[in-house]
Amino acid sequence: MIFIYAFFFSGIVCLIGEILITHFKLKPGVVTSLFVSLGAFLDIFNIYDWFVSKCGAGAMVVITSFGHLIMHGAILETKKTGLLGLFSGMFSFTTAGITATIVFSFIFALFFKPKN
Amino acid sequence: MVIKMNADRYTKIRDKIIPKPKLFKKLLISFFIGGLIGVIGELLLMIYSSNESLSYNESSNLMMITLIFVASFLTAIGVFDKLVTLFGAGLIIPITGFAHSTTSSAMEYRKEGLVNGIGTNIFKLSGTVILYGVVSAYIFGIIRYIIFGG
Amino acid sequence: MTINFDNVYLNNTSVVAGPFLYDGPLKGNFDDEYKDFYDGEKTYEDCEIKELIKSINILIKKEKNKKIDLMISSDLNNQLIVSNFASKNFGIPYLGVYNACASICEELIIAGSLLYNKDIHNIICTTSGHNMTSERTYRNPTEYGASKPEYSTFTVSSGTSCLVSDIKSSIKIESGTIGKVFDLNIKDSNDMGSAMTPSAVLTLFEHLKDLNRKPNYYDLIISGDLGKYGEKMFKELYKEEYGIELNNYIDSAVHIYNNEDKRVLAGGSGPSCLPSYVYSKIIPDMKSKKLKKVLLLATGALLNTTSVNQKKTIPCVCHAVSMEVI
Repeated sequence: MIFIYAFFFSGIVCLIGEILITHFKLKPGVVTSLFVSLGAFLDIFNIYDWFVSKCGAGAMVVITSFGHLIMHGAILETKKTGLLGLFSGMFSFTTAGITATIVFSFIFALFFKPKN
Repeated sequence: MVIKMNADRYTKIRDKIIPKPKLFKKLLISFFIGGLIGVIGELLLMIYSSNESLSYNESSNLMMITLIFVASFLTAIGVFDKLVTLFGAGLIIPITGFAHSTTSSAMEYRKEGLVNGIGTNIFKLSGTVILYGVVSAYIFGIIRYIIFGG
Repeated sequence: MTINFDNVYLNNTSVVAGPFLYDGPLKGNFDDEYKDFYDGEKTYEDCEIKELIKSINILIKKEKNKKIDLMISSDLNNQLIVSNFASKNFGIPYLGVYNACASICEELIIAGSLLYNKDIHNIICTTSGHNMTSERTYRNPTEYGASKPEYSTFTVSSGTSCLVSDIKSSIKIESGTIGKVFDLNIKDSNDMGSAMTPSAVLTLFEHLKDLNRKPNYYDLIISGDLGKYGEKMFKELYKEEYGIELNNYIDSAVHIYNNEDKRVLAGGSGPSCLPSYVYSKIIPDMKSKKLKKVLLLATGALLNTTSVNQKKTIPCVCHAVSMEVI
């Protein structure tokens, strides 16, 4: 069951992204920035957490989850230390993703040349 | 000298001649591929969390790392950009898009050196996601703190 | 503004054709070819420089080592580095010029004008294009897969050169019209065809008006790189604005690639698109008297990434050069 919800969640988010890129002619960078902000926004009321519990990885693979994780980390820290937590908690849950991206990009850039 | 060509008349000519993108087909493809990535992610999550030594958090991290690795690798061997031409937003909106933009920028500027090339350009396309993720979380975090007190 | 030339002739030409071009409809008509975007070099820039040097060397050999007084060059890289580095190999006085894809006609007009000086006899005009370097200069890292709309064009990879001189040959460069920068508010940097068409229409009109000629004075009018849709828009716009239906007009971008290959989208573009087509197809047709009088309309989009990001329009220019068989 969770597989079907996963399919629909990430499918629909990508569909909306495609509409914004192809029909409204927004650049991919603009669309991903909007989505990541949306992910953060949806965590003001814990909505994104509900999506993750229902759709599992479907809600985690899209870039909105990045915003959700950043927001989540910030919120968790503010529960402990107040507003200062907004500064110290943001990357708590996203470190794996960002670190992996940086390390893999760097290593591959060293050994692979652009082709085409 | 007055040039009498008119932008509105030209727009009418352009609208007649420039082809409209085949939106429906692209939407269908993006939906399916995006959905597929979600399903693959869920599959990986199940596989990793069935391993008893991994907590749920660790499994989800590992799932992201796997997807990022595959996207980076396919970018490195020159395949991912061809897939994006076919599958559009289905590959750009998931975390694979973030990995792809970072890897392609790093690869492109490698020839300009480790610092001036890779160092200054690696986040050329993906930096915007990190920037707006942090800034929006900050603003919304303050709003949430005001509403819920934490 | 139109200039008439008295004693200006096109001598030999040379085209070194790259991927998508060498095996297209003009296959076999090039002086040399290279099959991948690196051609054994470490960077795309080095490859582009190498092919331009090859083209110039082939030309100099064809001209049996005449004394070359001057070289005028253009390419799409920032600060013309490809032309700069290629020229370093030749020890010939050098003028780098930039008008994007309109450069070839700009060069021919400058060369024709300089030949009035009795001390100048032989001028080499070169253009260079490379799909990967221009992709990087104007758009995204080359491995990044942002999908392009089907009306965008695909930069032609080739190094081209020709000799313009006051030594008589069968092809006379008889006039040049210097275009005005003009646009009709197009901002989409993927749609160069739409951006450049108005300036091309304007220059054709002014050229014909200045010389008191009708469009069918020429056997063929060839524009630079408006692409598949730009070619249609050019005819429509000319008819709309000046009431004439052109039946002797083509755009070189549409005839330079194998159009069944979806990767080339709406056709060629770049400073070497028009010269590659003209030198390999039109000049031979002129020499065999299939065509007697032709008009070249080289169109250039004068944008950079800053102007695009600042949401400015794309200003364009078109220069015209007419040639005839004597």
